Amino acid sequence: MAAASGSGDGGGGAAVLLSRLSEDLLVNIFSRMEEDPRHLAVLACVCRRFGYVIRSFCWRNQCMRALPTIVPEVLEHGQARQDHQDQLGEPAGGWATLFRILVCCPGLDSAGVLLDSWDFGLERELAGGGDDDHTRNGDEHRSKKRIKLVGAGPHVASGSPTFSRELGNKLLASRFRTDSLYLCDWPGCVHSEERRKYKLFRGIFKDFKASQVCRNLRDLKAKKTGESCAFCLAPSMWDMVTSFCLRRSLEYHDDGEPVVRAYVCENGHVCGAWTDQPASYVL
Amino acid sequence: MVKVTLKSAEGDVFEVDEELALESLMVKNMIEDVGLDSAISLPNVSSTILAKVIEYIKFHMDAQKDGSKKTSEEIKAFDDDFVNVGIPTLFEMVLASNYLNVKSLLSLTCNTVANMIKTKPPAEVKEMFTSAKQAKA
Repeated sequence: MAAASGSGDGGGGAAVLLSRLSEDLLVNIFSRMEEDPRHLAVLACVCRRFGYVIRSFCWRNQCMRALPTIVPEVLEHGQARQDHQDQLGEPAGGWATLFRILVCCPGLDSAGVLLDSWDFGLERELAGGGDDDHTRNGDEHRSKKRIKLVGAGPHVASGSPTFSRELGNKLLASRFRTDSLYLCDWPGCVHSEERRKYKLFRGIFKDFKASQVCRNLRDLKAKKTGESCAFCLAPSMWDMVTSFCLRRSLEYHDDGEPVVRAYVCENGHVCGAWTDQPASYVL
Repeated sequence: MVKVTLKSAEGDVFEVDEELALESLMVKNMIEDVGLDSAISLPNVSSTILAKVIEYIKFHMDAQKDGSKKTSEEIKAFDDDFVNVGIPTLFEMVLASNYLNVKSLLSLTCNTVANMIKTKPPAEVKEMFTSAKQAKA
């Protein structure tokens, strides 16, 4: 009855219902699910209007909430362009890049796991047992190849969506302790591979260009890998293991695979993978 | 007690206590602007929805009164039951509480919608809007 009266204007149902919900109302509704940014990431795919509202208003709040110290700095870099844009002040690279770091696991590719010459069983079926490890767990019937691609590329991360600086400090060598690296909470997005479990993490440096790590990389003239950043699509990243950015105690496994890998792109976006400790080092 | 006359979209007339009507900021402003002499017409709210909104405000006003024996569990049960309606009605209530500017009801209904859509995959959310369409047609 109520609905009948609502559509008294003879409109076409769903479209009308959607267009009757003003943007204020949509923001009102979306802002009630900020505890997990992944909800918004999913809702942004529902329709163009949702996507527009979330991209223009909600991502910004979400980023402020999760990375309060990072946002002003990112905004500052975008300031130069701000005069010519809407008053919201788009950060360089857009809120989208920042939001992507919040919700996306970089995937095995960008985390460097597939870079190595190891045969980690990736040619065979992946992660069949890791039920809770993936958002796509309902898709067993998909072809094996597809499952493999899902794990290799960026996807919505599992695990806690919060970020902290403590973990970043634990990852970096002690001489970089003045740098602010925000990492997603342990254990990140878990990928069970044949050889061992990879706990993929992502993070972001505050003011990377001025950080000690960046200076170190420049001084070393460290070579970049050919892998592109999963977040800002910078074409290459530095390997933080071979450029001595990580803590010494992070050693290698018996088979020579590093316990922790980490890569950083020129914009200070970090991705990498933890593996289970040989025993000595506990996060 | 002073009564306020509200007129729904269909032209049905609802007579309510002034105290109750003032819970709606929109009605409050209208009363301040045009006074109590004539009926306040609400062309965006259907009779069914207006009746529900009045029911909601009445319950919460009673619950807040001194000497009310209602526990917070009872209030919560009422709220849960109140929004346990079909999706079209729920959306109509979101729109009505927004239009009438009843903050507590807007927050209740928006929260309900948010909880409904936040764990669903995009296709299902889309379907939610489509099923609302079928109910309407």
